Amino acid sequence: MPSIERTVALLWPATIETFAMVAWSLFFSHLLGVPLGLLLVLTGPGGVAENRLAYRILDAAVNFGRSVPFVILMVSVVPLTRFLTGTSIGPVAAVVPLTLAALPFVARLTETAVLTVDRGTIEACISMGASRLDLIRFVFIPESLPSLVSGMAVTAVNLVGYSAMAGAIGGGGLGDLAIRFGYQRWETEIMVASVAVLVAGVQIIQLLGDRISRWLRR
Amino acid sequence: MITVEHLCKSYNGPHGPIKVLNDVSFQVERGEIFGIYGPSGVGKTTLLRCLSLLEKPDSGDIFIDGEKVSSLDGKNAGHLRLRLGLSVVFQGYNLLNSRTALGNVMLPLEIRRVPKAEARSKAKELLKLTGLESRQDFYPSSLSGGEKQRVAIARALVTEPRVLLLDEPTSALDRETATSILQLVEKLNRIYSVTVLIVTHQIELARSITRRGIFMCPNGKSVEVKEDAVN
Ligand SMILES: Nc1ncnc2c1ncn2[C@@H]1O[C@H](COP(=O)(O)OP(=O)(O)OP(=O)(O)O)[C@@H](O)[C@H]1O
Ligand SMILES: [Mg+2]
Repeated sequence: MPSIERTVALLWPATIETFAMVAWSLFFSHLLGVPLGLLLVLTGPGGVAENRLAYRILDAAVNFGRSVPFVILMVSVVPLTRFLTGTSIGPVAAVVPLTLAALPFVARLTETAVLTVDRGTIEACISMGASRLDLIRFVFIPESLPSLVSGMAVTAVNLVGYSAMAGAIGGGGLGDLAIRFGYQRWETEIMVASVAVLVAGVQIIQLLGDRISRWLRR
Repeated sequence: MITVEHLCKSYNGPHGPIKVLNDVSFQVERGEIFGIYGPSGVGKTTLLRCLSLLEKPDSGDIFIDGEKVSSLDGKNAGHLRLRLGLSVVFQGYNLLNSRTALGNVMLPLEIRRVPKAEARSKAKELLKLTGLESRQDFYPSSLSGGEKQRVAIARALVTEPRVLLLDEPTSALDRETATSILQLVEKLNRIYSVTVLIVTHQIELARSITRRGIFMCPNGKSVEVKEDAVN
């Protein structure tokens, strides 16, 4: 029978690993995905830098990225993962496929959020002489920030789920722990505890996301 | 001075093109307050959008201070806009919800890369002039319609434009507030000697501050209105 101490001793580092995986993937997927989403808006129909060809290519790429199942993505990017992190297993390596999985999702969420910015507000700023860069800086990002934050919470929750899956094939974290102890050794207690931490984590992320978004909405 | 000659503009409706502006011509002198009147849907906003380069007319010309602006591509006219000194107050105010009243008034200066401290003091000055000192830290969601209107006017004037285009500045307001906004416009016209074009369907109200104007008709044509024609 596993003691409480042992359970905590196993859960704590796994929780930290999962948290780190999610946080870093969230960071990198936004670092790349938000600009991609902005490009979709700028080049899209009615955008201030409308460009049909560019939009079609970006749009198709995003759709493609979103349609690849995560398990297949994870396996197929192993060479890239190795190149970037020097290894293909463990939580650091898992950040690469997690980022790639979230990136097109973030781009789409960003596009949707920015498209809800009032057309008249954008025109008002154009009439003040705002350049495209001014529009991004003064209008698109600040005006859609509440939606972007809500979207970030959704992405983070998805990443928690994916990180558990990444864990199943050696990514570390809570998913890894649950599989190793629960599935392979039938130590149900550890598995249940891991899942409980995941559930609590998701609740906290959603709560925080909602709170911050509402506060930003004024 | 603003000259509009034989301006035409149609939109594609569900049953073919709709002619909104049909041969509209008029002239506005420097420093004048000029009225653009007419019932809802006749194309007043469309005319204003052509004047502010947001819409390209099908034919006809617009000259602002001798510069032909009707043939320019509005989307990429950032520099021209800065040079012309044109400010627009839109029908729906179009304030940024992510900025306070003060932040909204500072925006045009930030776009012009005016240093923050200078932009702030200039914006505060305009908010004071429009009677909004005590509201400077409020977000648009907690401002009243009349207050939003005044923030929009302050934002339009902070760059000291030569031409101010106002789209229905009083229609959403009660009579008393509307009158005070018009008096404000008149005062600002005197202080800055800015040329004002005021679009409204409330002719009687607006005529307290305008001398001349045009009346737009549902057939897209326009008729000139002079002071003696109505009074
Ligand atoms: N982008 C557009 N596409 C198609 N039709 C349009 C477009 N914008 C305006 N219209 C049409 O042009 C006509 C004039 O519109 P406009 O907004 O200029 O009227 P307005 O005089 O400003 O009316 P109001 O007093 O209600 O503001 C309307 O019939 C409207 O339906
Ligand atoms: Mg209108």
